[in-house]
Amino acid sequence: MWKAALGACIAAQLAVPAIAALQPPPARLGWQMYSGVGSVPDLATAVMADGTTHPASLDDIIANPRPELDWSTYLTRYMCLKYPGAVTVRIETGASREAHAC
Amino acid sequence: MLTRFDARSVAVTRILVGIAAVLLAVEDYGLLMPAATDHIAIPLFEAWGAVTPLEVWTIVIVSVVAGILLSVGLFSRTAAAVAALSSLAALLVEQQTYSSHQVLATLMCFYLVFADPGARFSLDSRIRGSVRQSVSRFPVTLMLTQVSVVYLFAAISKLNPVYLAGTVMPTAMIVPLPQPLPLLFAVSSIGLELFLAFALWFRRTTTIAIILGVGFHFVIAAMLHNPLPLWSFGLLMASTYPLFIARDPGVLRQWADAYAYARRTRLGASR
Repeated sequence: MWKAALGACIAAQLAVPAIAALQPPPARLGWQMYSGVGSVPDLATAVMADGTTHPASLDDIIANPRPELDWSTYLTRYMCLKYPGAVTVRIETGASREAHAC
Repeated sequence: MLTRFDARSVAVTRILVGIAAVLLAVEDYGLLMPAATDHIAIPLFEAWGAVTPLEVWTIVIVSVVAGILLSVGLFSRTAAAVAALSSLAALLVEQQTYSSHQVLATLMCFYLVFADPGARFSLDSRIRGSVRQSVSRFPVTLMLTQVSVVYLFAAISKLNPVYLAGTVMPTAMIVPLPQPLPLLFAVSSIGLELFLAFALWFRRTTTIAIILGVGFHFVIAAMLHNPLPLWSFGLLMASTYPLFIARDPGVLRQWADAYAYARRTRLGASR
């Protein structure tokens, strides 16, 4: 009985990261620290209706740039709230640049 | 029920996990307070809203107190439970607190709840006036397998072109390494993690695995930027090493002999 329970617990310890390994990396609960996969944005810029821009240093607005988080969504929401007249938020990650409507 | 386990080694694990819990609380403060004030807040459940400064202080203070009580072994079982719950709370209120070592700390504290953590080397045993020589093997075995699983999947996840190119660690290091050292570091770290995942379990390799493991975690914490999370991660992983020594009487004898030899040598030198 105890051995079966122990076996089930160890199977769970193995199954959770194994399932995480099958997800697009980086996945949570997968013990994938410092694996180098995933990326975080370098710069977010709110663009106002008149074309003026408000760039934000990500160090000033992100506590921990976890690569598994969907930063496009969170940064867009944050910048649109911070700059009420913004129409889009430009997010730069490495060489790629995306624009998200407020 | 499964056979019993040496309570002394579990007590050492308890002390180290308690220290790691305190370090983790300090780290959590640095992540949670910005999210509670002017930074982006990402609660795990939107309906909860952003974490508040009061909640941050509550989590941090409770975690620190629980970690200290766990280390000194006062109300050990309750302290382990509270430390597990406060660590879990940090994970739930804000997604930026997620990290492998935060999850590992939660699990280790949870396992300790069932391992009679105050049996030895604790204020609990002083107050009780008696010690218990052994504890349940069930949660101890789960701690051991958990650490092996962490090493195993940490190694597997690094088997990707980005990490193998040797470009990941140099960006995090306080001192730039000239080529080909980053590449060597990348390959050897994978090999070492794979080795540790299995070698800790075998009598002939346990001791060398522990020496390499301590060295590995020390070097990582000493060489990378932002070392606080790496110290707590290293402490959590190394906290199980005494359990690997105690689980095998042969390994325990090796360490006891080495200790006795060191004592004799030191006594001889001081005469």
